[in-house]
Amino acid sequence: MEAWEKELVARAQQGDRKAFTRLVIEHQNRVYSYLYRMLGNAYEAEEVAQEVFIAAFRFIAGFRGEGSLCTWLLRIASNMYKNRIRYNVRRKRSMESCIDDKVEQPDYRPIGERPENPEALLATQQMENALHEAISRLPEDFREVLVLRDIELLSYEQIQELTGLAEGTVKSRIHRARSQLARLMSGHLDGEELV
Amino acid sequence: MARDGEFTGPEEDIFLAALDGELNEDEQGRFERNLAEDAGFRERFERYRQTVELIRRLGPRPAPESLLPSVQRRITRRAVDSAGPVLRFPYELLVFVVILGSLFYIYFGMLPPAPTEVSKRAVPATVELELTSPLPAEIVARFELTDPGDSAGGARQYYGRMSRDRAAELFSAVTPFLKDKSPPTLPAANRLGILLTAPLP
Repeated sequence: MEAWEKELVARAQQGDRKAFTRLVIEHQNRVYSYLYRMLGNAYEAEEVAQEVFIAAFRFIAGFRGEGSLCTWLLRIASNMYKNRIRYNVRRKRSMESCIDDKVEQPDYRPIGERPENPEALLATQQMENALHEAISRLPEDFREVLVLRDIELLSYEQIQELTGLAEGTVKSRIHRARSQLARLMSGHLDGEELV
Repeated sequence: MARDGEFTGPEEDIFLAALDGELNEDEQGRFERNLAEDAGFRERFERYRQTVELIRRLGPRPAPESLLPSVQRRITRRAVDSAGPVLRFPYELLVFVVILGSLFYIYFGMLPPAPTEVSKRAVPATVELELTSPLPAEIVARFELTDPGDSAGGARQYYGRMSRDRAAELFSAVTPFLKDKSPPTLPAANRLGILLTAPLP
């Protein structure tokens, strides 16, 4: 954790709401993105992300700074996500129905990063939708480590800290998740030029 | 090795290490030879690499702009709520005071009035005196004394209830008949009971 973040955490622990807001600004994308990929639903992801930060505000006094704040927040997000899944199961809501809104999701990427050609934009959007759906079909254990490693770009150590899994298990799950995803995406990968 | 399109065994370590850039020089050499010589290996790795690249290109999804204001609103509301117990009306204290007050009222409000307020109906203090002889009928009638006649103890008793002033007047009238010849000190009560006992002749 960098010095500026440590200072913000210390101030937030004293009840400084402005400092906590700065921390939210700093980490909201990562927390939201993780939840969006895990839940497959923008609305639910935002709702749970709110809960994560409210919980973080409540319990930040107990954050000892042994790990990174990001990992701590993602661990809260992981727990909240699992609670939400249990809640959804109780309400008999299938996760398949939750990904229905993905096509309507706006493209949040900066304009410069989007393809300018409408056909290319459409193709990219279709590919992203297919990938998003394929990720949502992975078993939960595999999906979590894949999202943390390949989307959130966390190190193996951070993933171990967050999940409490051994390094070998983390690597094995990542590999198996990628392999399953490759199989699910085989139709889309054929002839796809990615380089 | 590949099984049903899924990589297992050593290939898992090689693919992970190759993409993470963690192969040492020897391993990198063997890996590149494999890629060049084994078409199946090359195809599997290429698909694996493409998949990872595709996921990474997907990238983190920025949070919607509404997230931060929502969190700020909820934190502010939470701060106000948590300050609530200090600011809100102390209903528990009010209930406690009302119960305590009721108990005080029941306990003290139902006691008889203080002894300084002697009512006319209060039981009078009784003054007992001994006479040397029975009283004349005129005195008995004047002070409305009851004259029960001869008592079982062989004495005659007169009883009357009257004010303190009237009692003083009675004692003046009966002084000649008193055994010790001196009028008694009257008690502080406003109404007195007078019991006069005389031996039978």
